Amino acid sequence: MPLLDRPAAAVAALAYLAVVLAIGAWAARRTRTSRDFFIAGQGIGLWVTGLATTSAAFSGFVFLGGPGLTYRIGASSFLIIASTGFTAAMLCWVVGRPLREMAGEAEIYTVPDAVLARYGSRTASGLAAVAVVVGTVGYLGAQLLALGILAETVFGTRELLGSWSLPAAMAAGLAVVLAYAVAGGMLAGVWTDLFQGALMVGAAVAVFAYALAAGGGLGGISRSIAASPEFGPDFLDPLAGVPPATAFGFFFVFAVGTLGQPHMLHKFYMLDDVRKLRWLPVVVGGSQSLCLLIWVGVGLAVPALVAAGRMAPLANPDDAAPAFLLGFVPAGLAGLVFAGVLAAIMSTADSFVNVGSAALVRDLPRALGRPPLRDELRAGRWATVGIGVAAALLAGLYGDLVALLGTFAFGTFAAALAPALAVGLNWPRVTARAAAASIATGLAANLGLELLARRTPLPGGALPSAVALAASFTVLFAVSWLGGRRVQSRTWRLPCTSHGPKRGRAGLSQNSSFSASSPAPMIVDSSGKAALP
Amino acid sequence: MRTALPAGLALASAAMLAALLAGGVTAAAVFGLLAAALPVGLISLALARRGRLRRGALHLAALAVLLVGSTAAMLALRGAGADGPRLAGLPFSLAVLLSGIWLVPLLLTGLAHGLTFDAGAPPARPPGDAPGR
Repeated sequence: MPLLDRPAAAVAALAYLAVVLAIGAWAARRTRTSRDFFIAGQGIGLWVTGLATTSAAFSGFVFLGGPGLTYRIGASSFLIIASTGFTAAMLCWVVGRPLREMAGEAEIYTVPDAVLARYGSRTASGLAAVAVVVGTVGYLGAQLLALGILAETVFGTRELLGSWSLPAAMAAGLAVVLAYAVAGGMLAGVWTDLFQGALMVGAAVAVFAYALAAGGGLGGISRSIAASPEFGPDFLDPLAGVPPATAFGFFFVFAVGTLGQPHMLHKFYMLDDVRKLRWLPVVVGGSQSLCLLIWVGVGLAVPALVAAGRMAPLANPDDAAPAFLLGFVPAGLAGLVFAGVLAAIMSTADSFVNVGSAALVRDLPRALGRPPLRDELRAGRWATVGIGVAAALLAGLYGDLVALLGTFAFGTFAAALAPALAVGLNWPRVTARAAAASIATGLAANLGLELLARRTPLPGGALPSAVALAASFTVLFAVSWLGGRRVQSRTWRLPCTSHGPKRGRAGLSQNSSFSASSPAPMIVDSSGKAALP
Repeated sequence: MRTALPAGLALASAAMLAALLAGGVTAAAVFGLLAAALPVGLISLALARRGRLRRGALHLAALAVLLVGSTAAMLALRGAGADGPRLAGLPFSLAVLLSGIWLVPLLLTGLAHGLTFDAGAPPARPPGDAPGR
């Protein structure tokens, strides 16, 4: 029965949409500059940044794709999320602090901006921008796919439209995402993220409680699954559902790869005071862990219910969460949870179209030596539309689980960007050439191996993204040590920005924290902030 | 530390790549253990840059023990089936994953980051380091 046949659920979902659109309209009136559009005016505090980071990171991948992947491969899927225990703190230690300090000194809106500032290389920055665009299209595609599946459940369009149901549902979702992303940019994104993050946490905790109750507690769930011939005890073994190399690959990519996720790194630029980083891991890690209860709870409860004969086996694993919500959660709460899932998808999609449009409008033209666009804000909005359409096409052609498309996109960012940022921001010996080689290796290897693995599995079931990430790290270190002259990068001399940016200086070229080998001097805008060339 | 940490990370990366390309259960185990250790190495590199490695050493050691130990335990318990040990109603290997890699590190790293946080700038020259070399 479609969700809309249940009035309480429909009211909850529609109320959510109304609030999000109202926030978008409010933010659109406050978005006046490209600084507002791309980094929310760099005026966001601890709780908003923390919940916005969680909202941006968690998406249809977590809420729909996660339980679906667990249904297919069992507890091995938990290796994707277990690293949440330390990734928030690792993010702040390894990349968050240096990026926020850089953003306080220079006009840095994007990850390619940071790559340019650190390495002074348009090649490295341009490659980073390409990686951002490719990953954005993939990740946004995963969101649209999840949005389509969700909309099918809510509106019951599968019976009505048949094979056109999913494309139609995805198109409707894309229209809503573009409506407020185009209007409000990141300012709309962070404020909807705050609302959405709170909603996601509440919804996940509530669903987890219902999942445990429906399955008879962790012990009951575990016994039902283990006794079932369809699933068996290996379903609950983290290293049995997929080859160990795949399982550990999940862990590697989703732990270390977090350091290269632009939609999360972007949030560090927005923080109004670097000192607020201190407890950010508690907010981000805590809220993320609460949200992930839905993955664990529904992911385990659905197989247990199928094993006990209380739920029909799923034809499509991605239906696990919608089927559970419709069958085992009260209508009002189901509506709220659907709104929460919708919130997760929309906030991530919004973050991605913003990040991707910034790469297209700012970073790629600069890498190609083109002058800055006259109307960056307007161009950013057009780029947003283009990325959304490309992502919808990819999602339509991919034809696999939401989580697998999401893993490919996450892996693209991870392999291309994580080594150059995580090591490069903390070790001065990394050269521009090494960074460019690492980014190119990660990007090409991830794309190439993903295509190859679709025909022939890699040795031992290795995850393409994991191989690409390991290769990217290896190339970074090898080229830094073996190739070319040493560049005296002074990244660790980042001035303290806790008291605000240093104003009135003659740009970063003389007092630079960044690479001394920048091909073009940095300039200083009217506010005294250094601007990238 | 100036060279040891990056060298260790470089060796770990190369070994992980080799293990992934080699295939096989042993290679996968090596890859898994190194993948568990790598995040600790990256955090160490970041703390060393700011001259805070000594202050965070205890937390990092605890994190390394948790991550690598939990991974080793999962490997040891692989294939234990329904007859294996249980914890909180779950198979022990799953309980180890959820507690040793997720919940306990969540508390440990959140507190460690807050307690070792320095509001000031990183030192112009971290202890034992020489810029430009």
